[in-house]
Amino acid sequence: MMKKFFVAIWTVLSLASCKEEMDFDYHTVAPIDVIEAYLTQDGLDIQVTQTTDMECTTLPQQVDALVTLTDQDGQAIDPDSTAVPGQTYTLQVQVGDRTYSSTAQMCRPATIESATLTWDDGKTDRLFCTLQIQDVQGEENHYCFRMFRNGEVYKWGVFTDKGYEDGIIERNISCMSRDTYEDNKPEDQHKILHDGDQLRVEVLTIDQHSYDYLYSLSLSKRQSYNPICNFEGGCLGYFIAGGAVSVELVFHDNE
Amino acid sequence: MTSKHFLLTLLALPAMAGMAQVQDSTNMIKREFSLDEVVVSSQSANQRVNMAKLGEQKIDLLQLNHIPSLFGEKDIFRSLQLLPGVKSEGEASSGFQVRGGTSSQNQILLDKTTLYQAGHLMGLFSTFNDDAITNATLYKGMIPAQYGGATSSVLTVDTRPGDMYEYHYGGTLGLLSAKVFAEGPIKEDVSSFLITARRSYADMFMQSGDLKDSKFHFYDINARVDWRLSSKDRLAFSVLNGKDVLGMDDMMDMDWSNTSLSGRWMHYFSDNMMSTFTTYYSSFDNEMGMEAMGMDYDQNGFIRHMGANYTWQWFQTPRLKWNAGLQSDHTWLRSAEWTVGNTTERDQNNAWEHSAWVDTEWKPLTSLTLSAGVRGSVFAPEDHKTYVTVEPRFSTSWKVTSNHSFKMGYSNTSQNIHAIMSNATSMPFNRYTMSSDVVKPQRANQFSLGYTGKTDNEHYDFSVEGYYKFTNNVYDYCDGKNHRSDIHMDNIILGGDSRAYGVEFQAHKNNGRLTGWVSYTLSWVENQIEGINGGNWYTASNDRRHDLSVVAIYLINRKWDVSTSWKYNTGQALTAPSGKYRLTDGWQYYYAERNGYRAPDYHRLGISFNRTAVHDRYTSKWSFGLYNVYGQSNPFMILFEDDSTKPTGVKATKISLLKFIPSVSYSIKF
Repeated sequence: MMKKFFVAIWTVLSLASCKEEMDFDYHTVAPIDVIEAYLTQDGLDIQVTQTTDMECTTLPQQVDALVTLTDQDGQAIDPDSTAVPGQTYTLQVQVGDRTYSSTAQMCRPATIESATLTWDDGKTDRLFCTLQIQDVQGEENHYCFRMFRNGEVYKWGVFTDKGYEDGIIERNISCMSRDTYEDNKPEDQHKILHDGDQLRVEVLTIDQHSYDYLYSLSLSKRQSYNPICNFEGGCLGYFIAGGAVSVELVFHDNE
Repeated sequence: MTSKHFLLTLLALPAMAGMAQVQDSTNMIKREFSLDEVVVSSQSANQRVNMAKLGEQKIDLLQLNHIPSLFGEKDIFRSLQLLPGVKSEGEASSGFQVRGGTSSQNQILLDKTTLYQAGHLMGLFSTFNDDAITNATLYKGMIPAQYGGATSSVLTVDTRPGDMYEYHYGGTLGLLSAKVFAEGPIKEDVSSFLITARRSYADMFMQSGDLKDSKFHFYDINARVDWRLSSKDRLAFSVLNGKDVLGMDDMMDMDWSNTSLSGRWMHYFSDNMMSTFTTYYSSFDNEMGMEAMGMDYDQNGFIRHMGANYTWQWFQTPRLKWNAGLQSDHTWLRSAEWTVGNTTERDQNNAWEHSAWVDTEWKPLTSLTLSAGVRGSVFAPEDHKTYVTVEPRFSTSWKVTSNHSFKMGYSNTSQNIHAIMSNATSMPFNRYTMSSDVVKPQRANQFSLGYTGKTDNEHYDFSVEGYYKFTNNVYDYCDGKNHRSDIHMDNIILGGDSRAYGVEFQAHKNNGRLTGWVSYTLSWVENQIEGINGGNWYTASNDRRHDLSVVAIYLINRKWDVSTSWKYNTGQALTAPSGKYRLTDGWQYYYAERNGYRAPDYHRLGISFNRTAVHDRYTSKWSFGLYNVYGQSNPFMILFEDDSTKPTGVKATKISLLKFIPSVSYSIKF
């Protein structure tokens, strides 16, 4: 009887909380240039776009830009050439009469020991991608992982080797909850993996400056501030040079 | 929302504050042996008019018993939030903000020991069990010189002494918790004891289903022993221990606790001179452990104080009184200790603080009262610069007629323990730091001006107070940094200034079946911190332009009373995006201005019915209440999220808590 009484109370408390969509009157601001650039052993991958209003219903379009990549000696580098670990690279981007620059150091790549997809039935009832990485020896390392689903970025995050220096670092990337998977709602499609989805997990060894930027980017939405500046000149976005390694997986319903 | 989700919401909140019966000339205490115990009747309309100091607010614990409360838990902090110039931190917090300050700029003293994060369930309720306390006074304007260490306000609370003549015991059973107390003489007319205990009992019914293996409880214990050694000497020892424990399976555990010990010796030299010697120890501890998602992580922190305080009071003439004293305090502050894998990092420092003060109140004329004080402190952190501060204060009251008085005052205060909050709401895992070579003592200068008036029959009284406060060395996290960014606080915080100004109105109805008050505050709070918002002044997150509270208590008959409270305030200032852009996995937001938006306005109505029955041997009381009667969806949190089903790809959502919260409790006292 007492238990029923308590369950009733708890239900009341639970119902007392709610999450609902609300209308919001956003301010508008002039567009700001946005640069996203990765330099890996495979060359430079860069996108230049602009911010849009919150109410805008179209995706941002690429804008024309003049891109220059130089090494630590100031020599211009072919953006498609292989970046060398230990070298520092400077990216300069000119958009109209505005010029932005950022510098990053190319770091040695780590080794991915294993990557597996597992449902954690006991505790969280979530699907995790468990990643084991051999830390780059003899250095203080910062890492960024990107998990691609059918070629599109699905998850990303940053971590360091703190506490696991020169050893095996294990990270569990939380993919989706079983409820989300089974409910399969249209608004959750960006979270849901489907049978046969091709996954690629890439791990980049990055420098402290890049790590600080990506860490602040990961907090940006939650704490409502802009990430720290990665470029000089007043644009948004980042330039990262990273030694990259990757592994491929396929998601199956019976995983 | 399932029970598990509700618990997770609570757990997630951090991501997302001699002798009680020392009778001085301004504090007359009347004892009534009913459920309401000791009734502080110190602040009658007449006393409000006569009081020299601005911004001093005695908390009426009798009224506290009638005001509608959340879950039926009588909460001194939530009552404070109904006073002018005092604002709630947020819907789910009993933390309070005073005159543009943050909750971390308040000092909460229990029997002269400092408490931090004095709340249960992530601050949903205060640590104070109303059965255990007697006096409570909030100083929000001119803080007496005997108190140091807070730039915004000081709340002093005293543990209730036990009855020296009769034994009493009783208890209360509520929706969320149960509490018991016992008091009585150890030796009649010589010594007494009081012990109270409170525990939530939700966890006892979580032994199956979603919540199996979850931990979710709090408790607190207060105890006090008094001795009357002679007609001139009294001793009192008091203890508080309170703890919260939350956990999910074996994945996550978090707990935080407050412990305070206080011993006081009060000595009367004569009818007009007395001294109090207090030794104290307090400890606020927090600890969190997580073993999930490949992370094996532990963190802990603490703030501990140990010290002694000697206060001397002399009522030299009926028109002239003095308060002077000395205090020595040692602080141990561990901002955080993190253990990840095989690495442990720690940010900890210790400091001595020695203070001396003198305060005086002089009535050169019947209609004129002058009050002045000064506090000097030497704060000496280990391995860092020593700071010497001198904090003067002054106030005057001019009684134009017996019913009307004008007051003005100035105070200078400082604070060396800084809490840096990631959110607008204080949490048990906020990180603290102390003044150092990098972090400077916070200094506040406050000017205030006020009027208090009453009607001839004292049925009604009114007050207006205006204030302007400028505070140096307020600290916030750098953009892009949070409490987890770096173990060393000096590396991740920035300092700047804050200014707050406003005017407070209050009207009381004091007599008759219907009593209550209306309070209204019009205020502004702004910060300027180099490196945030381009170094420009910005609206502080605790800025709320309008704040209105209406409290009414109606005695229906000898047994029944009904009370209501209605609260309204302008929505909280918040930072929201003004643009969006694509990076990596989706939309990112561009924030053009810190706190450039407002959340929707907040309002709620509470109502409670109390039935008190006095029997020959005992008194019983039923309390029925409803919090947020009309179910207003007040925003607890506003989120901006990606939503691929929307043409814009994004949406704004509002999380609301505490709609239609019914409560019932039963108390009995013998």
